[in-house]
Amino acid sequence: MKHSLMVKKQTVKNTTYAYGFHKKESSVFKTPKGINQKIVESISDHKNEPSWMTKIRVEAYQIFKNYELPKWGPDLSGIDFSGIHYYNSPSNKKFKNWMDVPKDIKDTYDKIGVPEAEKKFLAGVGAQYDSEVVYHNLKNEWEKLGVIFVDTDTALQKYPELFRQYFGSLVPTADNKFSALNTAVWSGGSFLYVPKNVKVEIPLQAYFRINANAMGQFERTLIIAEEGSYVHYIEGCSAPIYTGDSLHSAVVEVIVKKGARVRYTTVQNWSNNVYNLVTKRMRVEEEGVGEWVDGNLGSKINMKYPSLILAGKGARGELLSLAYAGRGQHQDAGGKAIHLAPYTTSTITSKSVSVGGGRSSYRGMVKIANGAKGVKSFVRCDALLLDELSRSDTYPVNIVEEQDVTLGHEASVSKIGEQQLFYLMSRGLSETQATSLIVNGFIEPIVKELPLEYAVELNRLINLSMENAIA
Amino acid sequence: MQLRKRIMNYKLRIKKENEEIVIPVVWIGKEKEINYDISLDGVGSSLIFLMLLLGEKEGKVKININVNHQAKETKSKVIIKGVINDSASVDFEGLVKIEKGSKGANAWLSANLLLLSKTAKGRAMPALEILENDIKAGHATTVGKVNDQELFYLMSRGLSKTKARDLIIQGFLSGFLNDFPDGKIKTEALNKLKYENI
Amino acid sequence: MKSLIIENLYVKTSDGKEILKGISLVIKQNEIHAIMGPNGGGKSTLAQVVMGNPGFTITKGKILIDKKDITKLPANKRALSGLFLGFQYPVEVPGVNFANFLRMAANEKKVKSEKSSPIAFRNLIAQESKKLAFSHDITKRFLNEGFSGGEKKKAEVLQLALLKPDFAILDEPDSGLDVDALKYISKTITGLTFPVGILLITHYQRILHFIKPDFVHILIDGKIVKSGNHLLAKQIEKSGYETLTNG
Repeated sequence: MKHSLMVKKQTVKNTTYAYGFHKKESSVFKTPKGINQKIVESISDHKNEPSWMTKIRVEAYQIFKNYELPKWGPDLSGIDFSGIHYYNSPSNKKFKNWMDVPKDIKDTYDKIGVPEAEKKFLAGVGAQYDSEVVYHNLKNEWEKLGVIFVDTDTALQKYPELFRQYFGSLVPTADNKFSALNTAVWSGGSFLYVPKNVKVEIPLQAYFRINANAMGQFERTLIIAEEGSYVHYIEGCSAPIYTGDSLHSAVVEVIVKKGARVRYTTVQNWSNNVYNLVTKRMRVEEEGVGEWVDGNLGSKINMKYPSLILAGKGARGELLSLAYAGRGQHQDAGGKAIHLAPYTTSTITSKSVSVGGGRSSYRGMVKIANGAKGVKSFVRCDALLLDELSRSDTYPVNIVEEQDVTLGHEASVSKIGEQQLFYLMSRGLSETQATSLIVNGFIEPIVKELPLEYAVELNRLINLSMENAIA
Repeated sequence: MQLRKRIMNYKLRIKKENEEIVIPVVWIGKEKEINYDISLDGVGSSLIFLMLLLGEKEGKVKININVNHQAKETKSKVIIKGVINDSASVDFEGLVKIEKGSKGANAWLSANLLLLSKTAKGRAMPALEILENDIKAGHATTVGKVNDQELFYLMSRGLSKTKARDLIIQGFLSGFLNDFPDGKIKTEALNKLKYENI
Repeated sequence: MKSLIIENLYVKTSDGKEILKGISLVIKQNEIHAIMGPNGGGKSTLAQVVMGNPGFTITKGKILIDKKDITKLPANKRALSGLFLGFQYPVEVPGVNFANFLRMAANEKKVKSEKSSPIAFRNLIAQESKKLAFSHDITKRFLNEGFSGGEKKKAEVLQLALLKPDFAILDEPDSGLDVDALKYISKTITGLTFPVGILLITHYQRILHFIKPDFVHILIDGKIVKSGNHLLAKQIEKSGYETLTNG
């Protein structure tokens, strides 16, 4: 997390002030377990939403109800849909006693150097962490530029027209079972609007609008970059986040208009009880540039395939995906590049590491539609299998319906090279150190695109994991 | 009766230790579906699978190749080369699986589809499932038209665009065709593509 | 005596960036011209554009060989008009036999009665390649596939010797070469038995010790900022390009 934002240590008790201009709920509210139409309506009601939004939610619930679980991919039969509380207002979130936080979590924070103030927040002990002063200064900067950056709930209230125009435009309700679920019960997430030709130099981070909602179960994020604009949005955290919620299902829609550029960086490290099922889609118009940097470290089952829809001539897309699967984890990650227009290009680079019985799968698709002349697409996925217990899969799909294109895809799976190990150990490094070095080197092309603090934490996390795995 | 000929199903278990099997396959438009299911059960056994696809007119084929490594030191090399013209299309699905315990296994798959006409199409889905870490596995796929840089290079030596293209296609296939145990296939393929025998 | 004329050439890349801003050069069939300049100045672009690489756009200007306007011709027609380009990064063409390909290219220019037979041509290649000291029999290999950097450059010069063009542009023939390879290449170039005008694009000045240029041009930022004779090359060797950019 951003150490530079650690200003004060104590948590602020006054909840309304603490949530910035997040619309404060009138009372604490938590829906009973399970989901039905009444529950969905009550969520919308509690949030004082316009009726068109309520209607969308209810329709989405019906679709969700009738959708079967996907027949491909990881086993989701363990999700107890009727045992989940689908909405819990932030002011009601019960937090843990620091004493109750598992020792290994605390130890991890120590070892990777998480500052005191952050530890409690990450462990779900504090309501939020206070960075009000810094937050407000930065807020002034982007407001001067005309940038709108608020949580999605506020956006619906303050900018309903804009919201309605883009909500669901890239990920329709019926896209898949979990987009339908999200559309029914979404709460929280970021809404980011960047006006024409505005270039936001400082990366915008999700927890600038800090509140307990920042790590919501069913976040809905909407980003609109007008022509010629630029913004880099960052969310997540490489330090492990301990949460009682077992199902996370977010939807992210990013619209990149002509000549604009958006980079969306995510690093997730949810605890090992979480099913993290996310639908992320970016549509890039003429000469626009769309970039996903996707770090998948945590959760029990993670299904995430950031997509790039290259819709306008000359649009470019890039996806950098990192997946780390440790014991009891199944990372099913990858991405899609759909070329609809000519002279578009896409590059997908995926690096995955499986250790201690973890399973990491790359699932990707490149589709080049008829008429998309001059398209160039290249995919490279490499997997490192650190021991005999672990597993790696690659499931690529390449569909070419246009002749005048160049598409290439390469994949490799291997263990750590003995020669490499030997060389490093001959210089005095222990097997653990040598392995860490090699693994960190393996994922370097992705890590170097992450903000420095994430990168540092990530490297330390890998080292720690190696110690546990090899020792 | 006719339908039966159009669908080719082939299943093979390579049981003997260190046995080497070479399977050459040529598709020139007859079959609509080709399925191969091969299991490497013998320690040290190996498979070389060569598939040549020559698509023309309205020829369409759905190909499914499964290679399963069930023993130590097994090796597989699957090479698929396709030259697709007119309105032909190729739909290739493959799975190379290395089961736990198959230490020292080595698997490689490459699928290269050259699309020669505006209406040619190709689909390639080469999957890998690896459950053993002491192995090497990889695959590479390319789908698209003839490479621009290669064309420019040959044309800069005076060859016409057509001649340069033909030379590239020949080059694309030649090494590969030489690996086919039956030399007649090379002759027939080149004839089919109407190239002079150099 | 033919001339290769480059007249006020303006060139854009496919991204829309202007990389050559009004280049004019006249190279006679018996002259050696050297182009020097810092990296990124447009040297390689010039070479590629004159040969007709479709990845660039000529926005203004002309290219003529012996008064014939070749500006809009495709690469092979330019080759048949007497032009040759030794590539900076020779392209690998998998599966295409080196000898066969070269014979095809050589035969393109000849009338039917003069075309070489495969055996005759192989012998010719064997002879010429000896002078360049290849480590393996190049006639058995595929075009540039698996060649080391130095071998690729030598192979370009071998092609030059066998194809006998009127004009040869050599794009950094010296980059990536050790001294021995450099000597072989230089000897071959200076020892060519047919009249050829040479446009030599250099990376290091080193090659100019072995091949003395008649004219030296300095290309910086898409423009030729100074021209002179071989003494200009020595001056650059001593004091670098900065004196020219500031002057």
